[in-house]
Amino acid sequence: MILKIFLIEFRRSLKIAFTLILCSLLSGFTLSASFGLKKYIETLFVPVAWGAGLVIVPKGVSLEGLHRSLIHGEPEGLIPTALFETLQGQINDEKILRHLPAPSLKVLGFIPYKKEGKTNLAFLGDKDAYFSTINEPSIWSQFSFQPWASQSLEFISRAGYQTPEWGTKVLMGILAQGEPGPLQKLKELIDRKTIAQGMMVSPGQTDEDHRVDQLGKSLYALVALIVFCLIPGLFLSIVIMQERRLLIFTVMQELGWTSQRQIQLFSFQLLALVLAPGVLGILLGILCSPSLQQILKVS
Amino acid sequence: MSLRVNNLSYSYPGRPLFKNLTIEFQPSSLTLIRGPSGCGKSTFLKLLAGLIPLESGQVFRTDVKNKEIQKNKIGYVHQDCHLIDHWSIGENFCLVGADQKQQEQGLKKFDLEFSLSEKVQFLSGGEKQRISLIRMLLQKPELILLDEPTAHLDDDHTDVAIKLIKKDLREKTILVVSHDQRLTQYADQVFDWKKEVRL
Repeated sequence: MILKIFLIEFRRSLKIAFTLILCSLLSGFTLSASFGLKKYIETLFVPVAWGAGLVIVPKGVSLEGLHRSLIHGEPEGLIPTALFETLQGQINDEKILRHLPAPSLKVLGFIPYKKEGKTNLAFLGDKDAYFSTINEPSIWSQFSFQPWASQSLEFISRAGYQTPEWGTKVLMGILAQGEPGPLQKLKELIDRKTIAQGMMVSPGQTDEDHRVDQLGKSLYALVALIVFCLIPGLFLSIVIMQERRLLIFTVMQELGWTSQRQIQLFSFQLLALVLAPGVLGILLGILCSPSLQQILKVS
Repeated sequence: MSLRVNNLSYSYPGRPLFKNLTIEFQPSSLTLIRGPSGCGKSTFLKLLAGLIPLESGQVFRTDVKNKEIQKNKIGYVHQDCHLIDHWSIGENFCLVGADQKQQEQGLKKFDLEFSLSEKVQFLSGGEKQRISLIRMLLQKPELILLDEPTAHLDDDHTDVAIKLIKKDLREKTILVVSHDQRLTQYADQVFDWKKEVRL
């Protein structure tokens, strides 16, 4: 009988019921989709201070690509460890030849990999000597550094970390610190090679980071706008439904129906018009999140 | 249904309505309750219908061992006729579980030429009042409590309605609160609230 009453009321309040269902569905969808996108944008927007004057990465890999590789623990390209060893050798030779107290440049090789869901970085070179000169390692502080030699076995067996030419002796990139002059020379030297490229970097946000930041803010504004538009519809529908439900409850009470049956009717309405569409919206939001991320990526 | 009201008292804050009221209502009878406005007649009916909780005293049946009055055996109609306006006539009747044939017969008996799919909100006050009475009768109650049931009815419809209520419910107890003088002729007994009830 309660189900019959629920169905009669649903049919008689079709417009309001559908408004309520739609608002609940959209609210659930907007919240879960925006949560998914927010997480995605956060992965794009981790403030980067490279802590280096020059970043050496494989040809075709941008700074953003390097950023993504670090965040996801999967390198988008590889260079041979031999390049790092050559550079380090040249720097040491120069120090000896010029009788310098310390090398004019510092370099650090690294390769990201995933272990138990956390990104680790295997590194080559003297990490402490490198990072001790940087007050805030920024993005680097988020990762766990492991010496390349001891940790290489953890990722070495994976196909993605091997190339036919260099085998498993590969790195994702090299960071270089030093005076602008020597760094520029190093960049020119690297750019002449076919396997890698050098990119001069400066501290602070890149244009790309700035755009991602703006994208995040726009998304929040859009979500706020949608929720803001939904609230009046949701509020009005609830008020009208509540008024009608109170009349039905009064009649039910006069006809000797127990309050338990009134609660049953209310529960049916709550479940069918608010909770079920809300949960469905959340699930749809979760399902559509990858597609939305793809659209966001393309745009 | 034989009904006994024992030592019933009720008051609104700072305003006592009645005190230690004791009455017995016999079955197969229509009792007309009269009295000035605001003296507590409607509240009395609501107390009997279980719509407001008793403060003190008891209301029970005297014709059966189990003295409890089942709420779904009470038919209550008042002048504001609480019908669900945005539902159809048939949908309002559904609340008392009557089948379509009974519903249509009810409409016919009360001289209403509507289909069951007609929406209640488009009916006049008198038509709504008759629909409330039909719904109450379809409920097959043993105790009928009517609060100004003829407020919106003309003489002819009042005659039809009261005769139908009395005819179909011979073994029931009917209590009617009304200022309508026309109802005196249908009453088996008249209860004068002003005389019988003390504050």
